[in-house]
Amino acid sequence: MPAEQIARVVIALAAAVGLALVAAHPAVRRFEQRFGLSVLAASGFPLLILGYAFRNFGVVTEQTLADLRPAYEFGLGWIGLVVGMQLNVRRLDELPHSFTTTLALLTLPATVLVGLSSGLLLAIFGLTHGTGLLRDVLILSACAAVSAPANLRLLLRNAPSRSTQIVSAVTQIDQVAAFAILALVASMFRPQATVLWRLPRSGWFIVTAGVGFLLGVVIYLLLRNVRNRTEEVSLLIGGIALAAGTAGYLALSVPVVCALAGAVLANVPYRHKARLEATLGDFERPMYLLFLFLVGTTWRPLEWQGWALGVLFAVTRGYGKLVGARAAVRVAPADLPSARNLTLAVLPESAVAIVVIFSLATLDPEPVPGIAWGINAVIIGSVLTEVFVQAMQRREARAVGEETGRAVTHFV
Amino acid sequence: MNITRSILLLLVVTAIAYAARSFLPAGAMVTGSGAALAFGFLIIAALQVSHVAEAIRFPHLTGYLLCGFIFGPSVLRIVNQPMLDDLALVKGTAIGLIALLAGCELNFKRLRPRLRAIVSISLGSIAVSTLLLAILFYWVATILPVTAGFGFIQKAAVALICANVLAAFSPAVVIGVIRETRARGPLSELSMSIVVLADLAIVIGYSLTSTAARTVFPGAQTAGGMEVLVTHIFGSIAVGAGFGIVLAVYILRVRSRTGLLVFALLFIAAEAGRVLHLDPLLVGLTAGLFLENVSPVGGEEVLRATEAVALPTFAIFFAVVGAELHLHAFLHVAPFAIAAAAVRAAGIYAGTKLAIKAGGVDEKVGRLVPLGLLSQAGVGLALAVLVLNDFQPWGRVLGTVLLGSIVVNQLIGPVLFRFALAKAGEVSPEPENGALQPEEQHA
Repeated sequence: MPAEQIARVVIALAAAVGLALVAAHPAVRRFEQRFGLSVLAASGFPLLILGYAFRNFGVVTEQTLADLRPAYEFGLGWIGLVVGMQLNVRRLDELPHSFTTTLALLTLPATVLVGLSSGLLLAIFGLTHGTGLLRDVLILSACAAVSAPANLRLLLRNAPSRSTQIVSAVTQIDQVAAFAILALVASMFRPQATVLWRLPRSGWFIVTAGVGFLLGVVIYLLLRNVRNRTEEVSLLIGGIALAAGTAGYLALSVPVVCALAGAVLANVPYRHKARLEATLGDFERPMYLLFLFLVGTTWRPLEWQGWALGVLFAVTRGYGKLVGARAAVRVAPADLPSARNLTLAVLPESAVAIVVIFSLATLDPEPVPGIAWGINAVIIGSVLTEVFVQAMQRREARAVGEETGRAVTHFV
Repeated sequence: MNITRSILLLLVVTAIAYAARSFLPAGAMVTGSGAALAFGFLIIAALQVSHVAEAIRFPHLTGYLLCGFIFGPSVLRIVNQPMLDDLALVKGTAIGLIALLAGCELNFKRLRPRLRAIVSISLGSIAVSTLLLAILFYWVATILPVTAGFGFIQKAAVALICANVLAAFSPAVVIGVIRETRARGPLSELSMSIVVLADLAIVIGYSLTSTAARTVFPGAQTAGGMEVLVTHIFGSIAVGAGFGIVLAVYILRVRSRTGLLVFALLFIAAEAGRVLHLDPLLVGLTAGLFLENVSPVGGEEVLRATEAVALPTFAIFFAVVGAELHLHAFLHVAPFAIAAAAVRAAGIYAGTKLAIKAGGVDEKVGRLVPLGLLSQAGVGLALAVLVLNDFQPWGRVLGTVLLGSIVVNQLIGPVLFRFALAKAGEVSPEPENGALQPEEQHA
């Protein structure tokens, strides 16, 4: 290896470690919470850009990416399990009755609008049914559904106390909705390959559900009688890897299978569930950061179609959320803040959106251009949304400061 | 732990993995080799097999090794060769962690009173076992058709290289058994110090002997010259020291998710090491030694931070090592391999016996030390594979004999070392940190 290349590798790896240290620092988390930033905005984008830079400077090679494949599948599985564990039926039962309607209204209009508009644009770009138009439309719709909470303390300050509970739950459960679309898309648009199992496409949907449920039960049986925390962590790691690996090997969607397993775990009587959730939560953030770094290595930001799609995605998604928020406030005015603040509260895009589209992209060994544009669109869309939300939050905070005479920083 | 339950769970996960493997025809891939599947399956299966091993008073490590062997490419083929190849990085990261943990437990100040014993036993056991093994392999070289026509110098070179490889110990196994049994005492400390320091000498020794052997066998590949030796050893030590500094600063300034940083650094060492010729074992060991002996933070912090992930790391590492054992090749050379294992054991025993008097070691501990030196794994395997690849055509035959002998030592070593620790009264009866209360277990 030439000396120049070695120096490049060493400097790049040192930069990655340095960035990881900064991202893991508790001060960064405090900063995110204080300013209502999503993981994507605070630590995700630098790692995304780093991944892109590493790939282009030759630090990350095809071999490195192949080596990271098990880690990538495992990370997807971990994120999937975390999302699935949010589907705890007992906890959902404790939410106000207006939750389901609010969730549907905050999710559906954005999903439909993004689907229609992006479908039109992709068709203009030359995509047809044969080149994945329907698949890309469906997956972009799924990405439009997911949201991360903004600065709820600021935006919901005058709203009924239940609104924080509802908005937080919406930002968690909309991820499940996106995963449901992903499950459908991954089953209906499977890669063509020489396999020994012959099933109709709808059959793969059943297989996905069955594998996810079975692995959820297996993980539960493994964890049920553990002797200590070390064994619990070991079996959890093993269980997630088995679920992710089985899904990956069968070319099923890894996060969907693991989310189903997580949903099983969330609803069985496991005594150490709180500890399990804490363990999962501890590693969730690093998994996202690793994942975003990997997304960066395959990112193609120079294709203009992705930028056009990204702008359209951000605008139609935002409008869809606004339409939905207006309708939701009309249906349940006693539980929710103003439509404007409700929209802002659920507008930031969750990193799960990138997980959804990227996991689909990697299912296909020979991805068509639409998926690459879609990844670009989701990344750009989330940047634009984050910038907009931050600007609106600053304005809101200034207005509050003028009203109450308190400093702007009180709320941000 | 209920053994029936462990066996049932093992059957369930095996059925799932088998069913998944039936999806593709042999050699085909859709989205990867299935390394994640192998990773998850091996961790779960290894832990279940270790419960069975524990019930019959065998070390967990033997359970992990047997699990990998049974489910690996040699027997049931649930885990195939491409999966194992893709787990190489996991293995590299795991060996780095095992070495790091060893370094964090080796405090030179505490070892100073035993330094004479460590040096004398290391030298004694290596010297006598190398001598006896060299004699054995010279004899083997005279009867094997592939080497029978060699002259004295060539046969001597073959004997020296093979003896050098089999003189290696296994820090990974020794550390694994000590952690598993939570053993504390002179035998644990002495065994760990000897295997770590002696293996360093073995690696250097191999590079020197193989360099010399290349002058005798001009056709041999030139992957192990002095330049590589310098990069391999001193480069690894330098990188390890660098990692030690990074870890110390991180622990002092951040002290959050230290375990993840450790894994990130070891992953980098394993990945970059492939192109930069670094050894993850040396990198991890140096980082650990730096933390424990030089930095103000001490190794305890790293031991605590990685406690939760140490068990899966050990399980996957030894299961992969077990899966890499080739049954057919072993059966082919079994008589030579068993003979070499026996001669090695005799050499270690005799060498230690000689060194005990010179080193002023307590008689009781001294008698048990050889049992801690019998195991072989990572370093021995790596060197045997080098012989197999670098010295054609005789390397293929004798490399297989070396691998076969390592298989024997791998299976017997952990059992005997655990027995020795129990005999020395160093096995801790205390429950593991984080153990659940009895009422929680029955919930």
